[in-house]
Amino acid sequence: MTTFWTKLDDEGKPAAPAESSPEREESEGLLGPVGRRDFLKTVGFGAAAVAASSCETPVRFALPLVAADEQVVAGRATWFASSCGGCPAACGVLLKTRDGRPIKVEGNPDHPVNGHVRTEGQGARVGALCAVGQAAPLSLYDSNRPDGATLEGRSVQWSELDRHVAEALAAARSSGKDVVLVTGPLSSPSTLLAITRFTAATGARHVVFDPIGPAAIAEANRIALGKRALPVERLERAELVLSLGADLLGSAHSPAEHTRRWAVGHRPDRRARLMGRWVQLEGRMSLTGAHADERHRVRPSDYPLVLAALVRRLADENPGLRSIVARLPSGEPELPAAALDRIARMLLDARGRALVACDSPEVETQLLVSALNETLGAHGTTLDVADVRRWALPEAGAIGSLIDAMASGRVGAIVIWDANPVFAGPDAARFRQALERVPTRIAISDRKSETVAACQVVAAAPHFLEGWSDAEARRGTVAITQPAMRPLGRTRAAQESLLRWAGDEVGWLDWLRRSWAHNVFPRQRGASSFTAFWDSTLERGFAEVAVDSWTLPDGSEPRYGAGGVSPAPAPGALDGGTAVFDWAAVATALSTSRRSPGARPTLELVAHASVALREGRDANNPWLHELPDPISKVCWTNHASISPSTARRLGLHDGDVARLEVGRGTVELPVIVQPGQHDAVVSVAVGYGRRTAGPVGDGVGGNVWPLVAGDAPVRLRGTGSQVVLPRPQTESGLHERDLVRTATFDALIDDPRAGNPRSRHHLSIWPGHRYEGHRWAMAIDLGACTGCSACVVACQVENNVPVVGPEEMARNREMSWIRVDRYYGGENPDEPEVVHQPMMCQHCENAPCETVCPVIATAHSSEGLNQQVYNRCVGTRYCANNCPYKARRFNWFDYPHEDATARLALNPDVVVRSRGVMEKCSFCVQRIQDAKWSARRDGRALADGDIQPACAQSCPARAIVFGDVHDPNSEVARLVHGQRAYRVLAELNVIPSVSYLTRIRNPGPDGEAT
Amino acid sequence: MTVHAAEAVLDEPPIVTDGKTVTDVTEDVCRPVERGPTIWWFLAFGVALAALIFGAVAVYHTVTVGIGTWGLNRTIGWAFDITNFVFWVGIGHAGTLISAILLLFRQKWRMSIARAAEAMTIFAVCCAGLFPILHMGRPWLGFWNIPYPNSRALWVNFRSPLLWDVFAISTYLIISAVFWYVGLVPDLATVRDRAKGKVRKFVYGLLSLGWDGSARTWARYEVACLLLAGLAAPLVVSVHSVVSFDFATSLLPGWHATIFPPYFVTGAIFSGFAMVLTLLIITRKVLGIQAYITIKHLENMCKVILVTGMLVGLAYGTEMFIAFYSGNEHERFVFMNRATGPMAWSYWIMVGCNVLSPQILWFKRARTSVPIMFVVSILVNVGMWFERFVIIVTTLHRDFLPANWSSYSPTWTEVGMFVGSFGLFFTLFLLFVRVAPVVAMAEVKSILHARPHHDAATETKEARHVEPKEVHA
Repeated sequence: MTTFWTKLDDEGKPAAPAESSPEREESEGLLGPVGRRDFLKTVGFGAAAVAASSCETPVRFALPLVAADEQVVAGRATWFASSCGGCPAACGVLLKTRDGRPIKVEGNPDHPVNGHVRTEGQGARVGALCAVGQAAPLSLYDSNRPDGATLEGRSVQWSELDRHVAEALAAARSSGKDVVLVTGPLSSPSTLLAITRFTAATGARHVVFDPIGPAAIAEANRIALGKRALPVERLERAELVLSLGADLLGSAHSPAEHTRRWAVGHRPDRRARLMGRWVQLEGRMSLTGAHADERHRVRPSDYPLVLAALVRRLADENPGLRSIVARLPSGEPELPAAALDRIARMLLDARGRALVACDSPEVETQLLVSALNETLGAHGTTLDVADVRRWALPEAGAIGSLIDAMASGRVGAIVIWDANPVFAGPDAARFRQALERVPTRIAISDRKSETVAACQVVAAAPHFLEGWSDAEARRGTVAITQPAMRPLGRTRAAQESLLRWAGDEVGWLDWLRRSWAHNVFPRQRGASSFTAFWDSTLERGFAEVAVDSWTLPDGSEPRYGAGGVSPAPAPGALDGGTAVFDWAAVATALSTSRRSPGARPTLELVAHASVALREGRDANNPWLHELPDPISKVCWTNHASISPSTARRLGLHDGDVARLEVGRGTVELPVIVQPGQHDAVVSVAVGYGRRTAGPVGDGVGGNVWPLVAGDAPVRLRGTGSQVVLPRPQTESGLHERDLVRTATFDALIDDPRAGNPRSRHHLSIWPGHRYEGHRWAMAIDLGACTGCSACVVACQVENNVPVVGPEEMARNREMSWIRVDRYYGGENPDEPEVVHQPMMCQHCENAPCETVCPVIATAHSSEGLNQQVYNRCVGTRYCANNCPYKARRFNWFDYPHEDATARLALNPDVVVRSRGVMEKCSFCVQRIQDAKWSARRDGRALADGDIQPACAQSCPARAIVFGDVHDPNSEVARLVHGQRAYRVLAELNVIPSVSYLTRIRNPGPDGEAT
Repeated sequence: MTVHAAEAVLDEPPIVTDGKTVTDVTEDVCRPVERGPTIWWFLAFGVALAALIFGAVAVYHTVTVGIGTWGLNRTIGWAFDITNFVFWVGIGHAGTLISAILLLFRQKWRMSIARAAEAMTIFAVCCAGLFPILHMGRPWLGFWNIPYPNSRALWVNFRSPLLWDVFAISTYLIISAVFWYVGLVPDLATVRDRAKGKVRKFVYGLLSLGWDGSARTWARYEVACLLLAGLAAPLVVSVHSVVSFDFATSLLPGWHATIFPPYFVTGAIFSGFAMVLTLLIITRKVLGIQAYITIKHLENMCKVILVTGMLVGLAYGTEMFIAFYSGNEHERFVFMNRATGPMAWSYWIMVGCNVLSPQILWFKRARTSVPIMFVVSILVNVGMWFERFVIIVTTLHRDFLPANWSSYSPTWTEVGMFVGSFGLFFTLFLLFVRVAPVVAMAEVKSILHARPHHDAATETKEARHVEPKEVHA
């Protein structure tokens, strides 16, 4: 064995390894000699290292990227198809998620409800979505939502809550008292099945609560057509729509769908000489009325008389119609006979392509509408009575009898899910009092409300963006609502709660899948296994399968509880496509409800849903509060709108606080002098004046519900005080400026440049910018734009635009990058012509902002964008002063994003701006870049429509089109170079990239006189 | 010079009255610097300091909270801030005009008032310079407006009139300050020579840059003054022209006007003279130097105010006429709106103060009445502030798209900064009268001989024609 030397000794010879002696080991240890100092050093270092490591903040929540969900790719969005839960219309949506959280809701372009309309023609396929749907993420990220199970204000385990509820329900049954389930209007078939399970197991009665919905239409259809259902308004097929007060394009049921369809129907087709015409008769100035081609002021109490007058005029056309003439309400409407003659003639001319609609909550009025529609051949053409909306709608009088039952102590337990009867509805006060007599009050809710506050048991439910459900918006379209994230709080699906209380220990997703496997899968063709079908449905978001009767997963027929009738349309004759109109039944129904005409009151109250907040369900959503009303432009409050002459009569002005009294109900509200309002109409939006909606919505505006009930005279008088209204636009006149160009359709037929004279060509010694690649541009069709403001919320969501609140809005410091300017035109202040003009940064070629910035914080891109460089901006505001469109927004303060939950709604692709810098519309440059990269990654050229800025994407009317004007085949190039295109303030030679298309109205040949 | 002309010169009334001698000049002018402050000075200084502190609080509030503490909105991006800026720049015009242009035109009456006017200029430009910095959303990054090499690829936009302002104002401040200081040197030397304390002697010794009063020093001093006057003279026209470009090169009706440069320069001289008048009426009274700043001086300034006031009036009329003559609907609207719109009150304050109130100065009795001219000078100051307010706010509040129209009212922060700027101005001015001779002694001594009917009996030992050297002998 070779002996290896350890070192050379002093003489240079290898030294043998030292022999280990026990003594040495003992004294030196294995580490060699350790002195006192070395010991202290070692121990000291060790102690310091231990101490130092403990100084680090413990990581409590970490996202281990190594184990990330395969769908979560840093920096890339994942999209899920789902259905909107903002209202029962259940529009198809695509949910954009980043890092596992939804940040944007967009319309599904393929969805039959709100997607591409078949006759829409060329152009990008984008899905419509209204402002409420767009604002959903902030309702999800609301830190004030109920969490977990709560019993008498005490947070408990779900099992304890379930035990408590089961005992309470059993106690109610055993004592012979009623169990009642109150829900909002529903369009989810599997949910209805779960409800039947609950009602069958507990003997509960199901009452649908919807104080302002279209239930009367369904009831009229039950009488006339034998089917309690809402037909689908095929507005794209309509050549003439006569609407009495129905705000179909604004705040009524399914406004995004209506707007999308009407945008197609209202499109001027010069070659075919075809363009839809909308005639609106209404008391208040609604968004639909503002968009109408012809509008007459009619007080709501006159709607039956107007309909009766039309029935009389059309009676010769249909024997059925003649049969009900004798049963019409007597009396002539205020509307002149000539106007009625004209409308009747127009309706007849458009026979088969006409549609009559009305927002009246009275069934007999809706019967007249139905009779007119039948006479005009609307059923089956403009009104789809085959593929009806499958919504569960309230029964007439159901809520009244429920209140009576509660008041008399006959109700032992009540479960209220997603409805707010304690606050909303004309009988809210009575409901609140009667509810106190119910021993067990259970609320299921995903948000705070007065009803939740009045219940002892609260079961928190997930928001629709974090929970499962399905939707059958109409026959033939079954859709899935799928979660885009894990639930934020300790919530449980409402359906699961109901099933558990019915004794089914089953997960809601299992139940939902079983329901689909049982009801939908057998009727579809294509997929061989349910899993494949389910997965493909999740991918698309919906399946086009007609399910005429839903049965429980175990095959049993759904049984409704004690005395309950299915609130949803059951399968019937209508589904075959042929509707038999029962004139006799209509006549009978009318004869029982004949009214004697009384004297017309001086003032009538119209309580209506608002475009932004609808009936007030999203009252804690600041995006919706900050959205100015499309007509009055007031935000953060509701208001009493009165006509200019009524205002003169009462001595009231804009911003005066007035006391509105009906019977014993009274509310103080600011007054708005509203051109186009009927002199006898005071209109107020409902849903304001909430008490327990959350910190955002509480105390905003006044609650008008207590004034709605009863026939007491309406009184309005000033209180002497005044408020500065949160109102971004205070001037409504155009001052004879050439900003909005309009023309009639008849003029357009004669002259394709009607109303749009060519602008002067400006000479310049500067050759201008050279754009070699893309050249982005936008075209906005003022004829299509209804002013619905979905684009405003979409922009706010996409671009992290801060909410500034009512005080700052009153100071005209709104931050929104896109606004919709509303102007009144015409000679008569009572019959104004209303135009809406979306306005944002115009991305001028000769941008006035670019030259004046001293620090080059705003610059021109090679593709025509005007780019704002936030971190370069020092905030001189010179650019904003010099902007003729005032499209620039200054960060007056540090707008906080401190709420950790609300902060989740921020779009990580867009930087949050700090105090003191200027910001503005970027044409959604992040989307442009994303689309360019995607195209490059896929190795293809950028296609027209690949880039959809948030405003263009959301627009239900497709009024906003974006694209590359250098691509001659692009839609935007066609529009920008078309005969209707003009640029606002072209005389300044700033050369905006945004072109507007003239507003084309179709008032008819003799319509101009009205 | 013809005999006739020479006689005319001899007939001129004396510029310095009360038979002041060279010694008197030194004594009278140095007295406030050498004597302790009076109770009036303390009172005035207290008020000025209080105003300055109020302004400082307003500035603190603005810088810490944001521009949102002001009354501005998305339509009106400038109001008090830039109004104050242009107002103070305008005030700053009289000094250089008096010292440079009148020097080049050999207007000897300017000598008594030039020093105070120059000081006023510098302090006014200091006040003016604060506002462009403080009006920024991020004032701490104000230095980004200066083109300096840096590693962050920051550069400035030479097309922006705001950048031109940076250069115009800083150039003006530097030239004015140098001109003022060079002019001060011989007088500081006088104070040095008269100084009793060691510290005082040392400080003024430093400040007077070793002035020795030799003929060579005097000769170089004269040349330097003339050169600086030559440099400063074009600034009188250029600074306010550049300031007017902030508006003239924009595209807003009411701003976008070729008349702006001459209109602004005239207005600046107008307001500058009014401010000099206001200040000197007080200063000569408080410091007891009425003999040096005489009624004749004040009357001359009144004449300048009358002329420039009418020029400003002409500009108002021209603007109106062109607005209608141009046929531009936006232009017409803006001017109609100024005169009849919701903010018409500010327009009519402007017209009343600037065009109507100086008309009283046509009368010699008014021109020589100190109370009347004091009131007129205050009115002109008010009117010229409102002129800038009208130009900025009434133009912005109703521009092209009616949907954007808005209104404006200031907050306490804005008022505080306005008051504070006056506080700063008067604090500086009051300190100035305590530390430096407020009348240019050396220059004034050179015009004592101009008295045609000099009384021989009161003549002192000093020669009529004072050699500069002898002053410090």
